[in-house]
Amino acid sequence: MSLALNIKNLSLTIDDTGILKGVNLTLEAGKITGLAGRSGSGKSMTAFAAMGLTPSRSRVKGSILLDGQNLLEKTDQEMCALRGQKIAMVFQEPMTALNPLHTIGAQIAETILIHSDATRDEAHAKAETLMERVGLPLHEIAPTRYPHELSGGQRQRVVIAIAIAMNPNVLIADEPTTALDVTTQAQILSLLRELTEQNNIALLLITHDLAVLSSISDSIAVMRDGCIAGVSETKAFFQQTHADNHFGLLPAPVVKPEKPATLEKTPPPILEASNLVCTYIQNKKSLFSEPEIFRAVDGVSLTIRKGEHVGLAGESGCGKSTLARALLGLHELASGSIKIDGEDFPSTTPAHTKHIRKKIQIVFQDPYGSFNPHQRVEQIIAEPFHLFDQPLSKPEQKERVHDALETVGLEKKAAEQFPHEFSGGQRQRIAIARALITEPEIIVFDEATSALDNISRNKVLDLLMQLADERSVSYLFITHDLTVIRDVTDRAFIMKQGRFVEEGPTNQLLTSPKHAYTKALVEAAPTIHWTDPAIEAT
Amino acid sequence: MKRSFLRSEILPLFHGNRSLALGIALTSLFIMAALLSFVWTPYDVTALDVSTRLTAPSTTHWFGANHLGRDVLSMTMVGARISIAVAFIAVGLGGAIGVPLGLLAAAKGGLIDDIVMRFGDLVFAFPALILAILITAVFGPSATNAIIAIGIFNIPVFARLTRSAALPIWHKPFVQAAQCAGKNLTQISAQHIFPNIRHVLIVQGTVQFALAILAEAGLSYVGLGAQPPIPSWGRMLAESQTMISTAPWLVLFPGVAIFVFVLGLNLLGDGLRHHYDPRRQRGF
Repeated sequence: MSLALNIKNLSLTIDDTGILKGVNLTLEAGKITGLAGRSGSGKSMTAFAAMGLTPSRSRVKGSILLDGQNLLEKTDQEMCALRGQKIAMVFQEPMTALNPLHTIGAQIAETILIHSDATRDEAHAKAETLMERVGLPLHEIAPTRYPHELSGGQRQRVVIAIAIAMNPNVLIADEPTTALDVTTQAQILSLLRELTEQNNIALLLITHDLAVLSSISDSIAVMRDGCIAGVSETKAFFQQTHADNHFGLLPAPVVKPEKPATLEKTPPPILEASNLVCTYIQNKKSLFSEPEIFRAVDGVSLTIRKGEHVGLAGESGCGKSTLARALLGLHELASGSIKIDGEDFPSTTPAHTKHIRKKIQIVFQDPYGSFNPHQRVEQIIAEPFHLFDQPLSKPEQKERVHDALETVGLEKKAAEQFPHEFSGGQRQRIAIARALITEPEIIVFDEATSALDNISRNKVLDLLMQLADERSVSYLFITHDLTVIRDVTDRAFIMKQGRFVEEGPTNQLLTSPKHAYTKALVEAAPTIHWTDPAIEAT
Repeated sequence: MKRSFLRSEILPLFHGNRSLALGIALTSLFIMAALLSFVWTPYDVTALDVSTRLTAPSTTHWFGANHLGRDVLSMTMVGARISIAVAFIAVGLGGAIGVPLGLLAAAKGGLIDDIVMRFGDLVFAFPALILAILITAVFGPSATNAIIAIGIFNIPVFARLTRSAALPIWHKPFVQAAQCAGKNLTQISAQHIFPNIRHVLIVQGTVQFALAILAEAGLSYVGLGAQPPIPSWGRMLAESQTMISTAPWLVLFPGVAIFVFVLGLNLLGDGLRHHYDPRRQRGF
């Protein structure tokens, strides 16, 4: 029980806007403290303040004590010496955290050279032991490799190796696994756990994913509006009857409406895709060689019936996004055919293709990139009206846009605003309104909730379930997040390397997976371990 | 309403952006002088007066008078008019042809992209001034031919910039959403691509404007720009260089005018670049 970092009454303002308002947080050596909170609650800014990396226009008050020294009183030069030496950080995006022009071995050795008197040879030798330490065996991953030659998980291991190179007392990890696949995430988390215990590091793990914290942290601090709303032991936090309703952080579960019995009879198919193949031409290896062709989607068939909610899960790079684009006619098919509502898509004439396009719409992952920043919400939502054979009159368009906004739970006046005025969750609602405006038969969701925090995510899913209940629209959820599949789909496909490896009713797929890959996915998916006080007591 | 627009949109532009403020000030000084020359100049710009030939700057002739007794201030003011007109039309011409070409290349890719870009390389293979001299030498020296010559060189500049700025926008989800809404390449280019690359083009436009001013001065200097008696800065320099030791003010004023105007435009371009810097997210 020794205190490694003590943050006392930390407040931070940027241009007179209070970002942090009196944060108190202590980190213990050898323990993992989780820092959870909705996006914008000040989690990352707390970490930046501890690293002395606050934006130039900000003003910081309070104290951050490391080894009895107040970090906030240090000059930039003194902080540079401490950073990496005593306190280190692991970032979310492992690609941008590494310099693409240097080998990974050199990047690890660089930290050692800066912070110690080691010679170049000693530093490189130490870099090699560090790589072994973080699970990058030298006979598999040579230190002379470059970051782009490594997978996301391996890159994150390199970042961790750099962070622990000088054996710091405090390690801050800001969403270290958010950019990674579930199976890789599980490996990185267990590596972090192991390092914390063996090197007696105090780890501050910042994440919006409570399931991650439930499996590895010792205690959980919840941030809300720039303050710590509460701190609790992990076990106590996940007791069903938490005194303070989990500091307002746990969302209400998604309500999935009961299907009416009539759906038992097989409804007509809305989307039929057979033997789809999509290819990418890769860069030539040498000037005279034939370009290699990469089959991103390799012979996939699927049928979605009216009113069905189908899930499609797989890790990044498995071809699921390419498949989504192909289904919408945004990616050329190398072979195979798509039928929407019984008609070939794309059709022979552009006019008829437009007519069919009305029936299939998409919601994208990135709530920031999905809208033209120069258009008002009204223009954005009205864009698909272009697909109508008969153009609607302006007042009619306006009325429909207002209706759509109300349907997705936004106010009418949102129509006059620009997309940047909305939060992530609200933006996804706008995207849903745009998808709904043509009254499509099927909507494809390409990772539509993965950029949202838990509460927004569940609210959006709730809205979708409610809409499905009212309009019997079919959904295809494409995601790497098995919880979405679990919460809202009836049937699911598991995709790997461009092919489906398993399909079946969602319940069956998640409880008794048959294919080894599905099993690995289900096991790696972080789940919240609830503790029931009644059982604990006995 | 107008006042609040000024306060919320215009004034913050200058906050911590001194090059933008200075650039706008210098540029508008010359534009104002050029506009003023339409209605008033101190003396008739074409009038010759042997009695005042080669007089030094004084209260009657602020910038002095040349070897024919023409007032240098009046000539500089009217010269600004020619410079601005030539540069403005030439850059406008380059943009009006180059931007659609660049949008087309980005939208279509493949063969069309290659053709447009290789055409650009072909133009770039000749130094700008040589190309202009070639054109004016073939078609005869005049302000119109100078405009065409400078304009042609501006086409690939804008085409190349437009293409490279447009390509990443084509990969944004909102463009895919527009494709799902059945919009064709032209509609997407006009409604989604162009508004998102506008600021890059504005910045480049200012820089090209400055280069066009220089090019026009260069062409007039070698006698291929506007013809006498229309005064132009380049020719004023050429005519008075032999008298540089006896009447240095004759070279000084048009030279300083070119220098300060180009400086002002470059500062304006720099300021705009800083203003539109994506790292300074304004969410416009």
